[in-house]
Amino acid sequence: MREMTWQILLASLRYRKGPIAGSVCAVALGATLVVAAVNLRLGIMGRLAGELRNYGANLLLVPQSGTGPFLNETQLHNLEDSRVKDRLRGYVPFLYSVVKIRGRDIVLGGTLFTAAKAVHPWWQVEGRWPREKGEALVGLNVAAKLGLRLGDPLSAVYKSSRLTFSVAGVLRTGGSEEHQVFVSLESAQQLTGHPGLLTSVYVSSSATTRLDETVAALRKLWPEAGVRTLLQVAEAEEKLLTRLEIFLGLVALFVLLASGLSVFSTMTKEALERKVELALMRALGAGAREVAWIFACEAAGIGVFGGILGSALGVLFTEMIGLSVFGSLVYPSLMSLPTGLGIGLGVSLFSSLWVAKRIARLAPAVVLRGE
Amino acid sequence: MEPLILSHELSKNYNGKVCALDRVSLEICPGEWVAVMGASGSGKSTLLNMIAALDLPTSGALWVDGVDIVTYTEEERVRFRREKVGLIFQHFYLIPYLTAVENVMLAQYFHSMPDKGEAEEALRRVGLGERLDSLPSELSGGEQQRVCIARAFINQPKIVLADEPTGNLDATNEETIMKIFHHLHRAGHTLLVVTHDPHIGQQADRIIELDHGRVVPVVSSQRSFLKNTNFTLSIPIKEKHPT
Repeated sequence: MREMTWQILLASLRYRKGPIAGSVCAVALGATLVVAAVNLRLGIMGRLAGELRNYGANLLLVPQSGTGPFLNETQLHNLEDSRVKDRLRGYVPFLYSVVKIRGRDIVLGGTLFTAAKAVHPWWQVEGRWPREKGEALVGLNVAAKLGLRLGDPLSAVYKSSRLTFSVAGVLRTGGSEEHQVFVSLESAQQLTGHPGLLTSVYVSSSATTRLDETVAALRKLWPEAGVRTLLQVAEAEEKLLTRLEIFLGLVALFVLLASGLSVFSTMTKEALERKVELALMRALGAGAREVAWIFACEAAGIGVFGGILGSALGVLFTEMIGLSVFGSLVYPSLMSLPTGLGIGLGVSLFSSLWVAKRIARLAPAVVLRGE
Repeated sequence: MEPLILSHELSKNYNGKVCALDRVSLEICPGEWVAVMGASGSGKSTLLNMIAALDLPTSGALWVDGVDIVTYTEEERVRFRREKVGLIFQHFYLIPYLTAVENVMLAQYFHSMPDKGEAEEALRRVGLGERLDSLPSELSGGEQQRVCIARAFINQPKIVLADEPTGNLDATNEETIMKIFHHLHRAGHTLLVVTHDPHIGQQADRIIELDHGRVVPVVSSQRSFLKNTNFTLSIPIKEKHPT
């Protein structure tokens, strides 16, 4: 019995190769663009977000009001907790204080230079990043004001403490950092007499995670720290990515509508051309549902073929965009095939629904009479 | 004998204006060969469609095999068609992408279970043993009609309804088809053949003539000279096959 069903379906598909190929192409076109959109969403959007993240950290941890002016350095282990570790791209702690250098009040920031370099990749250093405890990174503006050059000694005074550093590099950021001097965190803690304390931690969240969820996780893990979103960076990212998502979604929607209409018109034309054949089946004792079922199976066949073809073409299309826009291949999502198949089946079945309904209502006597 | 088909004042109106059948009452007994004759538009095909449960009357009753099929639901009409009726059409109506044997198996498929051996045997009986795997486009008109006949009889229906079965055939093929009908009739099948050709009609046991949807009073029972002759179905077919 099942064998005969397959026999009818395959013979029918073979017999009407031309129109079937047209429908398969229409479905494949829709599936191609949706699969490409999904791959772009998962691959390129992540990469785009990563690139945007290069413009700085997007979260700032500061002492929660009522808990004192400092964060405890020992609590940094919270950021290594498995519940947030994967959400974070990196973090850099700071201890800020105002010190006197060459008689002027200058903001001194103690930090971990390796971490700062990773979280602020856009910081440009003339000379080199400090490697030793006694080395300092001087903001461009400070260097100009105080006449500091690479290798010059620099004495920082905080209350009764004094430490001397040599200028390893001059920092250009285009921001407030150019008015500051940076030394190692340990040196700053020693100079200001705040060992093991921090004033803030800049955090860069991972591009693939939702910012609000990361904020919630950090608040839970480190309740003494207030988590602030650096709105300019975060909002710009969110807006850009959301707009891109909407754009891709709309493109996919319109393409689906177009391919759906194409399949619908092919199916309707097919049904009209085959109405005698379908009416004959009814006259031979096929129920309306059986005939509609045969028609739906054919539509499903078109959907499967179109979906598989669309998945392959969608991945190819994504790689082409990856190469031409980002200069590298995009790792194809495992969702490509299920998405392509789902879209193919969805479009073809939904488009043939109306036709199948019409077939079910076909009056065989009228059709076979030739009216 | 209980009639196999019994209609009582069967009428069919289209859009409340055109009267295709006008209070038709008739009886057809099991094993009987009845020809329904009349001019175009006399209601022959409408009557056949009613008996095949392909169409519903506007009024009246129609009993087939003891059941009033007018009261059937759509599902019951489908079951009735697949179990009790075999249909033969003037335009053959074969599925173009199925072979001759597959077209016969299609009727088995909707009826119960396809049986290729049985379908092949049915085609051999109508002289198509060599054309089992041919597509309809590779068969001549007469051969296509013989496939239709094999398809109509494959499920051993109670009644076979044929609408102008030789209307599209030449004289040679017409004769071949009629020989097959005679053979099937002798085997006990009930045949209702719609035709406007007196030569075809005269070969039936009885003629029912319709005129403007009404039954014309009795035409005497006539049997053609063919009735008492012996036909063999291993007919040597000498037709020009399309290549």
